[in-house]
Amino acid sequence: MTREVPMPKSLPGRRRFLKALGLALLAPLAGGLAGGARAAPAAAGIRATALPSGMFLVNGWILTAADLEALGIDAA
Amino acid sequence: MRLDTASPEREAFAKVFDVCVIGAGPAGISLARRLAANGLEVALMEGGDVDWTPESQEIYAGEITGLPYHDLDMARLRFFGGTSGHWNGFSREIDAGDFAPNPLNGAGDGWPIAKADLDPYAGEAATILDLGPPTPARLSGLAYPGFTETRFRRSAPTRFGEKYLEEITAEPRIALGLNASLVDLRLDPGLGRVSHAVFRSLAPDDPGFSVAARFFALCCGGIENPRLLLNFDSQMPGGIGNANDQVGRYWCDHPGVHLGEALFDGPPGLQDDSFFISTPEFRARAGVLGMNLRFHAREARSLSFFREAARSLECNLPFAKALATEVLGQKEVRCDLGGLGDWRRSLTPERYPWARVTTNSEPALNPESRVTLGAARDRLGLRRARLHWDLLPIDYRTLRETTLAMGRALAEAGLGRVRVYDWLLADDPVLPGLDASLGEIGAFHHMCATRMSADPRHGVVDGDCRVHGIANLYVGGSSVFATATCVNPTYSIVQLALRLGDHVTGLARA
Repeated sequence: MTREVPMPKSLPGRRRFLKALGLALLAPLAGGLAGGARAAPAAAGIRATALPSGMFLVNGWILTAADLEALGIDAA
Repeated sequence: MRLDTASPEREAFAKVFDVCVIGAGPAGISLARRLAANGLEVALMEGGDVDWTPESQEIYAGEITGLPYHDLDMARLRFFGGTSGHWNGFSREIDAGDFAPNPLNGAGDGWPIAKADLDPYAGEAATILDLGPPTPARLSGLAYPGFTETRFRRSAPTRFGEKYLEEITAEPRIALGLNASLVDLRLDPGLGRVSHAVFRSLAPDDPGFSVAARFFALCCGGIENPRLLLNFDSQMPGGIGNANDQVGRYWCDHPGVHLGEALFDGPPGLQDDSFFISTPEFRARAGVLGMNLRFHAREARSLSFFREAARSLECNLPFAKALATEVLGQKEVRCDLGGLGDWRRSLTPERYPWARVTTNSEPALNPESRVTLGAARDRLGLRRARLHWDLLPIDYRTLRETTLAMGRALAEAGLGRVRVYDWLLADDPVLPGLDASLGEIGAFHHMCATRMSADPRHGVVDGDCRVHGIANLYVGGSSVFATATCVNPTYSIVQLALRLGDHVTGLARA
């Protein structure tokens, strides 16, 4: 289920955005933004939940298939 | 003319007025001005004084059951100008489609009026409220399937007490009675008309006084209007206008909690303060009600490293829970907020364009969500309000599905990503309480508890805002809204008040 997703055009911009997104996703590990009473997942063990819309849900984040690929997250 | 009814000045009310307007908030003041401009003699009665006093405000205290809600003596204001003191200045007209019957929101009867009935009053309402032009469509070049950018008309905001006290004091056709708390509406022997209203000051030994008028308009707010009608049961069991057990039912507010947050990668401006509203097509397709969604830029603020570190510990390491709870001073630490990630971003906010996702969403009509009377009485001898607010599954579905759709739209446009908070993704979500630090649980938009319906079995007032069964008693304010819509109510409150003014004027001249 791949979707054409516009991403930032400039490489530095794309890197910066993905870094910020990755930090937010991994925040439970780092004791960061997301925190959460949920168990902190191992980075490699993060699972994405497919939504009917074709998007994916990861720690509450609504992500595209391209996001998962860029972040190295497996779709469930 | 401005009179303190706690003094001998109350003698000025010993005559028959054309109209007695009870309550001097946005609805009452707009109505009184319109009536006076039309040449009618008006008694404008206000329970409070020109300024806030704790004695007057305390009358508004009451019980809360159901969902947690703001204390009732905080959620509204009892002095000249009313709850315009809480207004944030966001204004829109109700959309034309919102007046139509909609099985999803529980209003199979819809509104008994149409947008076209309020349109003639849009211009004057905008003047009264000092509304600017609609906010520009900053993001019109971007495609958001299912959403359009919400364009508000903003006010400073106008505080009615400050703006209109001098004008009303100088108006010879308006007798403004301050410190006049309504304690009864007396009906004629046939019980079909109000003959006079009884008022008292807050002095314990005040015998009170009466105001006679040809027409009466109750404009005391979305909780007080039903509370007063329910209290006045000496001639009509169950209260005035309550023959069908409708007074107080369907009370609602716009849920105003935080739904999530967004990380932007879009053009400048999106993250500043952006508003989007779901389209009717999206609502029909998704089977949800209307919703306004706001990206509210995080306030620039300094975070305590130690506080946020403690929060992170509590949220990730079970053994640190007790310590973190002590440090943060909270019984339950909110893990959706703060933490070291927030602290880090607060150091360089320009690199992390984040925003909270908040909302005004339309709650469906819920007959069990209502204002009733508690056992306790206020110092005037009236039973206090008991507010039971609850949401229905369709309300949570609206919040969740609309947020998910907005997240998809934002991602597909390449503008950012949205995170939905855990509470909204739960199988059986419940609106977070006030202690969750997730924003305002409600928007202080008190609506629908004397709702408008052509059928007295489904509402308290008719399309002219007249109480069913009472020939000369009207209600003003958002308590007459037939549905809540997802629109901020103040603009419509003033439009309805102006329309009511013209309607009563026509009857008075007949």
